[in-house]
Amino acid sequence: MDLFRFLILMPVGLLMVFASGCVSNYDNTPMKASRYMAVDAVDPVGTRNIEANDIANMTSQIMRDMLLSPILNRTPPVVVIIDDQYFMNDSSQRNLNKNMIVTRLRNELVRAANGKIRFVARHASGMFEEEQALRQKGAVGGVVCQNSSAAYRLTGRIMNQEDRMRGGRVSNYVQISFEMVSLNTSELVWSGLYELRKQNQEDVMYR
Amino acid sequence: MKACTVLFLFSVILFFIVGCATGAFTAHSLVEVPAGVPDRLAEGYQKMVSAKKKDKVLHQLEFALDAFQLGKDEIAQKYLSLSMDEIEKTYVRSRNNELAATHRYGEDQKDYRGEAYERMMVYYYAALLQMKSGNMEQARVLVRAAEAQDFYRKSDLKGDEGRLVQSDASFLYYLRTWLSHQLNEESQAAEAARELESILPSAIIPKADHNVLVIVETGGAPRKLRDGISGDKLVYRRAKKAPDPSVVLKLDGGNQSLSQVEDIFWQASSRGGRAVDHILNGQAKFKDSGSSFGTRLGSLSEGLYAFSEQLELREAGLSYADRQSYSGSQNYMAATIDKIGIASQDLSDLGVAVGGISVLASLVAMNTNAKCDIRSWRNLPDKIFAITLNGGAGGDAVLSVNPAGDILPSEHAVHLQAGTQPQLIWIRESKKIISHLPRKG
Repeated sequence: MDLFRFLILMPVGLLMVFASGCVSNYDNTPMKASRYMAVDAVDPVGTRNIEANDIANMTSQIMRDMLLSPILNRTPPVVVIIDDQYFMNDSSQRNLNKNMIVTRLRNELVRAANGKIRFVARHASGMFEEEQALRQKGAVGGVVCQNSSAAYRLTGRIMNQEDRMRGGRVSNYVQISFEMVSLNTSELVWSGLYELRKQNQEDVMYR
Repeated sequence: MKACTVLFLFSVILFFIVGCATGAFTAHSLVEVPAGVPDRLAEGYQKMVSAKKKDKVLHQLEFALDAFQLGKDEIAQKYLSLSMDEIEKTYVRSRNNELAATHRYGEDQKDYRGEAYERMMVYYYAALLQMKSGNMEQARVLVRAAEAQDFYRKSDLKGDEGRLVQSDASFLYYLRTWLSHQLNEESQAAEAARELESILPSAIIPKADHNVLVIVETGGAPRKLRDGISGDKLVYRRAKKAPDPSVVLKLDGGNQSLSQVEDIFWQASSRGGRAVDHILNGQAKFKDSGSSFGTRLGSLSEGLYAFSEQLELREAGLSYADRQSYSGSQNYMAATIDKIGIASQDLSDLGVAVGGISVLASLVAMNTNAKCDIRSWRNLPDKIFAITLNGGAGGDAVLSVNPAGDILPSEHAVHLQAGTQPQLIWIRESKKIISHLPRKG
């Protein structure tokens, strides 16, 4: 009889012990090893913000648009500046590195244009000037050169508008505009637009 | 048998030990404080890192603001960023939130991410930090993000077709106007200024050549209190010592008054009771509907008993006219029962069954923990004052905060840099450090 009660009570006690072990307010989430994901794959995190795949798709699309422009892709090749100095983040997305957008666009363009468009690395002008200063002092050989002048410069703006619907649904409309401005006349010679709209549902506890 | 009892008791003791285990291992006295954290923040740091997951963000925010107040901008930046990361995870599943949505747990079981006004202030302080470091573009991004937090709140008041309406946080438009000027974006500045004027007609609009922004925060944070029998209603009260001050900048022998650009208590409380109901949503509603369901079942049970008595009368050969007075619907019910030909005993049994269910439903309602979440960010201000000016040749100035009544004014020395570079001067009237203080409720 005692053995019978023992066999009944022990599992109950053990169950309580294991169950109580699960009730904790401390974060006991175990670590997970990182894994590779395709750059243009949809991000599983599920935010409403611009993500890696957006940057990859956006820069590829804008690069193609630029190469199709007869003003930018012509003979003799035009000289352009593509950097983030006039590329403004005017959105509410705080964790956005706009330099990633511009750098990827420049890299893709340099490769695809294959000399049909020339690029001035104004973002690296400090390095250039340092070298010229050394040449001028005679510390190193070579002719003292001038920084190249560009005909066009990229400007742009990242904007967004969040819409909130009843029931915790939130949508975010993002618009990223790219414009090429003539540095001789300030004319706008080319423009491109990339848009995305995302929606997700927020936790009922925070609506 | 004795051995069995001992083993069972042993299991019960183990149960309690295991329940406490994680708390004991993370006791804050064991946490080492990093070298960069000032002594005044050491205890607050220990409390923050050993806080429960559900309270983590709250501790981070209070600690970050304390650090900002002590000029430890890097520390403040780090913990505000961590908090913003958590705040932006409102679409991510959380075990604590699932528990908070059940009837056994109060709303304060959920992971704290603040009410709309608190979330707005997180981005506001992050923007101030960016302004201090000279990154005006990122500061404006954060001001826009703060506005977006206020959108959330406004849209709660709209109907099914309701979309967001613009934020009514005037100080954010004030900041955006000034920031747009610093970025040489005059059309953006004009747009923000228009919004500011529409919300706060008395506001003094920052001018294009004003490179210095002076912000003074006065008073204490809005208080959150529980109301209602079951503590399910959240009400806001202004901080106890929150006089209506005037703030004056004494520069070059002249006095310039700072205008009040925001009332944080108003931002917190302007939703009134409606938003509270909305935040509690599932839980408070469940309690209400639980109580009324039990009550309704109880009434039905009583009614069925009453009709069973009437049927007994009929079976005894009495007519409808002999019955006691009943309402029209009850008479209709009686007539229907009459037609169906239910026996009084059947009806009486049904009454007993329904009565039992009503007791169960009432018990569920009694055991519902509908207490609302009153965890609040305690070092927020009550009011925000601001002025913009042209720094010109620079110089020393004094900011005087004059509370109404017999409280002595407090004076703060500030230095204006010469030149046209943007400069933020941020002063908090209160010098209290609060992140180490115990929390009530």
